[in-house]
Amino acid sequence: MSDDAKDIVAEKVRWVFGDVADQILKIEEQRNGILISDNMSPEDVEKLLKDLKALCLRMAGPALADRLNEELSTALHPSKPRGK
Amino acid sequence: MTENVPRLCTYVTGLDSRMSGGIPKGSVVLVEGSAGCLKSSLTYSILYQNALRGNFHGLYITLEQSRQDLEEHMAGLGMARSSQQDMESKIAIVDLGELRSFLTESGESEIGTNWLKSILKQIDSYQEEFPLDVFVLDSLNAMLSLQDKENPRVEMFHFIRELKSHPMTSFLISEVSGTERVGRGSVDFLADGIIRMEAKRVDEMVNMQMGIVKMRKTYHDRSFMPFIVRNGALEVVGK
Repeated sequence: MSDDAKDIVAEKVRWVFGDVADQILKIEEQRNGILISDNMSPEDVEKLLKDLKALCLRMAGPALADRLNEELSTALHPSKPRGK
Repeated sequence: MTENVPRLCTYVTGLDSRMSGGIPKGSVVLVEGSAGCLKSSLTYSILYQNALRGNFHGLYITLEQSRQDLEEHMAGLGMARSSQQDMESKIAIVDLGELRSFLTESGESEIGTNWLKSILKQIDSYQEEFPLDVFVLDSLNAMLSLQDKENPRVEMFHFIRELKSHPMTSFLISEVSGTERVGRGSVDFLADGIIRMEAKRVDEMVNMQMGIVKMRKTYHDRSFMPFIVRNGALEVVGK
């Protein structure tokens, strides 16, 4: 995983949530007791993806939630080709 | 002068012909009226009817009414997104109320958040993915109540200027009570257009009316026009 995992996640999250992305990520870290970084365990990655998808689903519906989830999965899973 | 301006059709039957064929693309239009005057329905129907007719992308941001409530209401008027293929990818409804609740429930203050800036960022992000044709903010009053009370005119100036820098047409829904226009700053002057919606009592009935108060680059009718909603579309009735 990239050294700038948090920046990549923030960029994707900002795409959907605008400038409050940093606040959202801070909440997710506190809530799940994780640190968004290149050292995240697969379980933490899944937890983060699940939470963000759920929030996006509530806020913007399935189309955007699926899109965000896909973008984040690609960005956070090293085995997958990274998105833009 | 007005005939060469690219225009966004509202597809409200009888309205476009009363304003040179539609709203000049790229305009920022204020849709104002008291509660229950179908302001959201008008703007949503513009999104919906354009999306039905082809390649079109719209973003509807709601701050107070939930996405589910809005969708149910529009479905009740015959404008269900789920009934049409690709409609969900053509019209994105973003419920910032959910996000505000999430932040508050999580102990984060929403007061310090610059929502105007955040919305502009969201618009930029969407524009990177697809050309956004129409943007709707529902409502301006809710947005302004969350912003810095010290400089509403300054904030609105920059917000509207930013909206105008995008090629999309923007609709800002604004609640007014009577002639009261609280906290709107200079938006009346900055907006390119103002559509006023009213409920008028006629005998034992409440009739809806709309009027074009202002529309730059456009010759338009100045009368208040009664309208109805029929089969998922708004329709000006009478003369």
